[in-house]
Amino acid sequence: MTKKEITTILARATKEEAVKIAAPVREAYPVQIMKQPQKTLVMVKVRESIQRSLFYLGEVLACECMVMVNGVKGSSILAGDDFDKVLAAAVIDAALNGQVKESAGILTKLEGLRKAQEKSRAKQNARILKSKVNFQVMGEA
Amino acid sequence: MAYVAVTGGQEAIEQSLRLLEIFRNSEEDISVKSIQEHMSLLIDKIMSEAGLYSREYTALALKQCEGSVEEAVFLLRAYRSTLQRDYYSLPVDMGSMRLIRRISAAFKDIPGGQILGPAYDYSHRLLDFSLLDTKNGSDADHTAGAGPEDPDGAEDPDSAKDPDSAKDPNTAEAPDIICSRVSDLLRSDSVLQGAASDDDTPPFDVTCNLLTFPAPRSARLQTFARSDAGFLGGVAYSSMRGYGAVHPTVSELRCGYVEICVPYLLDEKECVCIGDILVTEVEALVPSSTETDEDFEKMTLSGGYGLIFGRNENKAIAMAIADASLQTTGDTPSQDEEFVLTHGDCLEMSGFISHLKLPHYVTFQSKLDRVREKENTHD
Repeated sequence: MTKKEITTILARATKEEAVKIAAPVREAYPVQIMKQPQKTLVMVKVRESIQRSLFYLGEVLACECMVMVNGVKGSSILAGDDFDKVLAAAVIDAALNGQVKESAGILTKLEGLRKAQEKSRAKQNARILKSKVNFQVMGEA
Repeated sequence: MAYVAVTGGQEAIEQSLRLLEIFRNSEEDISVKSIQEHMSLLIDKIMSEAGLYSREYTALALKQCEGSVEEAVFLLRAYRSTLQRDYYSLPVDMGSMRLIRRISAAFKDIPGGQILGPAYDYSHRLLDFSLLDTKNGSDADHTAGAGPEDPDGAEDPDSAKDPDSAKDPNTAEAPDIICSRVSDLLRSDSVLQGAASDDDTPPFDVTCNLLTFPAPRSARLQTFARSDAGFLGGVAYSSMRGYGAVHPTVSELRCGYVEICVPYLLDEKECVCIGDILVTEVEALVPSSTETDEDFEKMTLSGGYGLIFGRNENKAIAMAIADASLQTTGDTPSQDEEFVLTHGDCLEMSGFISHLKLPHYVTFQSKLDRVREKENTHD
């Protein structure tokens, strides 16, 4: 799994889910906090599709954190202000960076979470697709 | 004329602030979560005008200021100024939007189809008095947990009625809805004008730099995205009614989620996703002026672009019209860049109007003296 895939799953997870995945690592290793969880802003840069130029849409409230687990750094930044969740995500990141023995279990849990998230979205997608419309122009065959 | 300060009134001001709390009190408290879930379109409007995406803090601001949009925008902009901006996202590709709604007024049949999604367009505008009876009960039950950030929390009330899903209403599933743009087809047919390749000019940031004119396109679009929805709607409406040259066709309106990614702090070659945000995007098609036969022969299509935080369709359309209008020349307000870009900020406009409520005793006395002096001279 790439960093982007892992962080996408964690960003869509609840605090409880992220904390639960990080729990075995926190129990097995001392977690040194390099940067306390804190709020920050992310300016969203977008590419518009007419002239294909860049502009800033606005800022997203986010929080970030950096930790060290077993001598290896991990960092996290997530939209919102959930310090517990961003701390858990940073611990997971450090554990995966350091390839601690719990890494395989973490990846399995993340994969399970991804499937659950996809299933949940799939139900929503089905409901949205029920509103697909086929307009008829009067007089056309 | 120099400003003259007034002093005093401290006790009265403190009591005025206490009165705000008294007037805000209600027998029935409303939670921030409830505001967030039930007032999502209002929250989207405020987030876009504040330029800050945070549903929870917007709901909090609304609760704090009795639902005043301009006060909520003020609170959020003030809070935002206390935070450090440490990150800039990678350019977001709106083409990969996970759609919840997508329509075209230009073409009946588009690849991927038209999806109405959640929209009031075809609703009967009749007051639903049954909602008066809702008190933490029936109606709230099937929407609890629903909302733009948690659409999965809501069950489909129709699923039980649908014969196809009656057997097991929870089994219907479909992949993420991602469609190519309608304008891509026009561009491939060389019908639509526009850049052939990506323009990577670093964007101008109106939150950090003083706007000068002519403004770069990035400054225009950022300013529109933060503009007061009413002001932008007025500009667009005036252009369509004849005080301007743009009456477009909506090539595509799409609403959905996009991933926001930033470079990974420990290895900038990789990126991390911080979450999804809900946005509305509009591409509007504008034919060139056809006042003469020669113009008609040379008619081309150009486009206007709108992109707004949240489900904010009219503002996104208005933004696309305002964008297209500034690409035309003329003497109407919607074609006047300085007028359009400097009068639409919610905080600035409400602040300037609001300042008229504050003491102007010395300046007014001076005017009064002049009037009296003039009267005496006439006598």
